[in-house]
Amino acid sequence: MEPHTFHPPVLAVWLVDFFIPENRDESIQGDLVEEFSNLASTSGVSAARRWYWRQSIYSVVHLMGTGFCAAPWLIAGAVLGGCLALWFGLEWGDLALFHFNVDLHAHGLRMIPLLSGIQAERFVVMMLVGCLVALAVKGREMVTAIALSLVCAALSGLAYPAWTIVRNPESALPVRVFQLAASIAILLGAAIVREIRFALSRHHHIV
Amino acid sequence: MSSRDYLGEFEHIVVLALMRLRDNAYGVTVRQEIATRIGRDVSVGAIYATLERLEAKGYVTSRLGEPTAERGGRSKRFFRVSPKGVSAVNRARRALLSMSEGLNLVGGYSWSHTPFTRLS
Repeated sequence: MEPHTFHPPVLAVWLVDFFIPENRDESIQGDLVEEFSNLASTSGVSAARRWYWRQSIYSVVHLMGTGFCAAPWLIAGAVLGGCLALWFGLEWGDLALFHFNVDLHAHGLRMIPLLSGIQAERFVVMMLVGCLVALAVKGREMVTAIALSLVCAALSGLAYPAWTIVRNPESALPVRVFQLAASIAILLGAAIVREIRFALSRHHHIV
Repeated sequence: MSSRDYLGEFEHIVVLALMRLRDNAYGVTVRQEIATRIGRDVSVGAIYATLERLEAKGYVTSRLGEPTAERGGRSKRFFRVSPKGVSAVNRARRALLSMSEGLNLVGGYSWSHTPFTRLS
């Protein structure tokens, strides 16, 4: 069998694509695929897949860490700005929904499956904040989005559910699930901006 | 001279690997060279993070090669040590030699020579 007929795990490839800056993505993915093919032909596909997963996770963690250390103040500033934007965005988003007389608590208007109206609005606001933060930090979109997601998860994912448990124990689990989804919304927003930037830079490069 | 002008331990190892590999220095070969020579299994991400730092310091330059089928149509990024990088390696080597001069490192280091000798 030819070495290039082995295929690395799709999810691991996606993980590297998603989190590693585009200027390093091609060479890192190429190196991983080359070593994966060599390993698959000598040690078997299962061992090679395990190796690929390990390398992908270590590489993402390492590059994220060094990405943060290279510009800690820029990222910290963007995270702080993101927190403020979230605060304002969520307040104004809620007010806008109430302005249009949507009785969200009574009817649970479903704009996105599994999310009530107010949750959908918050999901969209967090995604937009993810976009804004990514626009402010070119080349470090994902590391900043992860930092902001972690801060949000720490602030709202722990404090808010604790408050909810005291008031209404039945709603604690849905709130917790929603907070996780909201953190993913920030990452999604940043990923959209990064992909658009990548597509534009590739377009300029070709032109 | 600022602290950024000095090579860290892993940076030193990577630059020496690049010098050994000459025109065939890219992620895979650098990783393999380090594993073969010193038995240290490092991630591809660690290699690239270090190479990027060295490039920012001006110790290393890089160029993209042609895409190849064995890499899924992706290009290799070849690295080369710049004259500034060679000077940095020589400086680090001289510093290490100077600091280790007169120490008995072959037969094992004797703690009794240090100011922190044990009381017992």
